[in-house]
Amino acid sequence: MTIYNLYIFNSAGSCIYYHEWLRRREAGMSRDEEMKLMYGLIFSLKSFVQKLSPVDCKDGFLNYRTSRYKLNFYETGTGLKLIMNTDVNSTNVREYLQKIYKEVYVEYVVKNPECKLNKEIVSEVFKSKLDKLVRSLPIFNNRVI
Amino acid sequence: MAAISVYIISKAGGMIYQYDHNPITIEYEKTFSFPLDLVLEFVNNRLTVTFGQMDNIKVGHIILSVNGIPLSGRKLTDNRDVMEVLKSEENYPISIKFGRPKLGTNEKIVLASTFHSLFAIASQLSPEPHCSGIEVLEADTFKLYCYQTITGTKFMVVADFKQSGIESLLKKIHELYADYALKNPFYALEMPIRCEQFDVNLQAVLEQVEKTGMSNI
Repeated sequence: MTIYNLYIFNSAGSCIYYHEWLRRREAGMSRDEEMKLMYGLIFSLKSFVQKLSPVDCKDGFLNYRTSRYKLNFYETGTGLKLIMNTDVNSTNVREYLQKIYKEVYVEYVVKNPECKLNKEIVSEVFKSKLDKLVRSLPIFNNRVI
Repeated sequence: MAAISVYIISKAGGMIYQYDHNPITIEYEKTFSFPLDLVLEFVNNRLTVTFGQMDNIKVGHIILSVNGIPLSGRKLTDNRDVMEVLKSEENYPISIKFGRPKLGTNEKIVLASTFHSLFAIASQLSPEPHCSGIEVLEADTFKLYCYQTITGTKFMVVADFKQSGIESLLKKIHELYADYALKNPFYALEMPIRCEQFDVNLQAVLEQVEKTGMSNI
């Protein structure tokens, strides 16, 4: 069980936070380009799922799985997007993303007047609280190899 | 039991086969009084509900007919402009039929090639080395399974999220493709599959899945 990394995008599509706990492969491009590619992927997946769905969908896209990792997606009503890459067997990641939003983002970014909304999150307290929460999750078991 | 759709995508990203097994149609008719409490807008030349969900009418549904007269583009088939009809009070009470827009062949081709690129990007953004593309994609209403053969052809199945064992169905479709499409001397590779035997056998397999589940494929 592992958690690889976490992306937070604002409603305008720019990455306001990125952190990695474990990553064995770089995307082969600059961080900036990678964020744009990731947002493009999520944006297209959302419209793809909406069109392909046989019946009306409510939440739309939830997650996808490849042979090596699973990408989990959660979007709030305000358009904030949280994306977490985990190993393929992890479950309930959506709940954890909701928890991150509720207990860390709202508490330490929205309620912090020093944090400008829609700007990159530089708050140290957010960073440490997030790290603490993620490390306490049952699916977090990163071994350094 | 929900519909199962099968897509086959060539290694260049073109859709070479598509079949919907028992597609679901969502249609709903309702009588309205003046003024209309829905916000309607033209999206892709179809009159779409953009705000004001009620009963079974959801955002994204399109208007199919007004008072039983079908709608094509901006005009009703009796040549009246649909917006004029909906704006004038003397036409009320009015009965409007809504439905979920169906995918046309062109839209399916677009979706198939979109998936082809999403598949490639997913493997590029992987945090682990030697990663494949999307194998299973989950949404709240369906699950999409994809199986890529070593020659690059992709088999994609859209199924109900409760349906299990789709992986074996994908292998079976691959087998049918090898047996009935590739062995057909009139079939040109990478081109749309028009082989009657393939259609017949695929439908038989899907029929069997629907009746008895995945176990005896």
